[in-house]
Amino acid sequence: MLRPLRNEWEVLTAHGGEEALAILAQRHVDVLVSDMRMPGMSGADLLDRVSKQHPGTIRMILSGQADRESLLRSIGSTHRYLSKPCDATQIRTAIQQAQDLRRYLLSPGLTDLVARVEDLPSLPEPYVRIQQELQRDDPNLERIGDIAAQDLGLVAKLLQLANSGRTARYRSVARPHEAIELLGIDTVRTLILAQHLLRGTDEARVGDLWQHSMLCGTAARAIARAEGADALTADCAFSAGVLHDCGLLLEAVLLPAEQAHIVEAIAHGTDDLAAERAAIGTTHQELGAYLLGLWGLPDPLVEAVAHHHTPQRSTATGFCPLTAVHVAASLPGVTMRGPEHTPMAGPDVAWLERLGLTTRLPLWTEAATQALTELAPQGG
Amino acid sequence: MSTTLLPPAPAATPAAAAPRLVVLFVDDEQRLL
Repeated sequence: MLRPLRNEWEVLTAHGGEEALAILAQRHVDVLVSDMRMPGMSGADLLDRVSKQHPGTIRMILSGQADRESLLRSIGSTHRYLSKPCDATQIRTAIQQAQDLRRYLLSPGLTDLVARVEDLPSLPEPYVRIQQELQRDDPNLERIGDIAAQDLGLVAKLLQLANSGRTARYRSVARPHEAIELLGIDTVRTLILAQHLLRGTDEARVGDLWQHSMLCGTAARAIARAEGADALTADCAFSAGVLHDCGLLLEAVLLPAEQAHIVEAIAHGTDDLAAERAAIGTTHQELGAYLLGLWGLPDPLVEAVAHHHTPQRSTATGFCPLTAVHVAASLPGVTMRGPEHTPMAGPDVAWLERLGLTTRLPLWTEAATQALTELAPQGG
Repeated sequence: MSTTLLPPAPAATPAAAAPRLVVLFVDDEQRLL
């Protein structure tokens, strides 16, 4: 099925992980696309090794519905998941998007800023330890609960979320591992990242920022589900929704003087993205996406963060986490209101029109509204 | 080792064009090709 692509790319093939590593040791490879299930080294294990030995190679994995457990283990080493069956056009589009995203995140304004900022936050320790637990041969929910339990703030958030809305109808949850079982590992990891990023921001604003994150994540996941997206895409939409404004948190912590200028310009009527470009040469979309890319989060999540205000700049050709996050973030009940942000005026209808998705808006809005109604208030 | 390096496609672009993207597919059953 890849024959048409040989005219565009230099195509190499390997029958397994060892053979792939031998090729990578000999020559430069831009993109690696691996099957998940293979005898010997699995696709997840291969990508883990490639991420350490050849971090510059873009890594994608092809998987079926039954590979969900392996997929969770491979987060952090996989840039893009492709669901089987997958044709040549989908692979070509995925590779094109991966290249475009990297070009976008290497814009001069952003690279100049990153070079200036010394202390970009590293991945939080509980996240890394949960990742290590998942990579064991016998990952255990109780042990993951124990890791989470060492952070009381995190436990409070987990229990609050597990006992809110739809999930609370069935039973009351009192222990961290029960909350993790109910919410899913992916949600827990996202909450760990969100909480980590909120540290150091103005305490008076933490509650509002946390609520905005949760509302956007919840609405984005509801939109993805209403669209009939698979569970992986819906989880990714939630994570991207929760983390979409993390660039604003980075600005607050790393660039407080510059953010003060941005706030002043917004107060005088300048659009927030224009104010950011004038003050720091880039925007919170790009800065946040850069950090999440650095942390190894999947490309569709990074893309959603990178373009949530300006989706027309993405190369998306259909529904994806970006669609869900952009629409969710522009809903009246979700859109961010604060001195550092101009509320979004509504979804970019021309972009949705181009994707052929305009008629879906009422359905998405209804699903998101319903999900937000079910979500109990999430205080900071 | 049975690495398959497919022969390069006929040159459709001028020689001075950017280097072609190198993509490695790993699949035990070679169903991708």
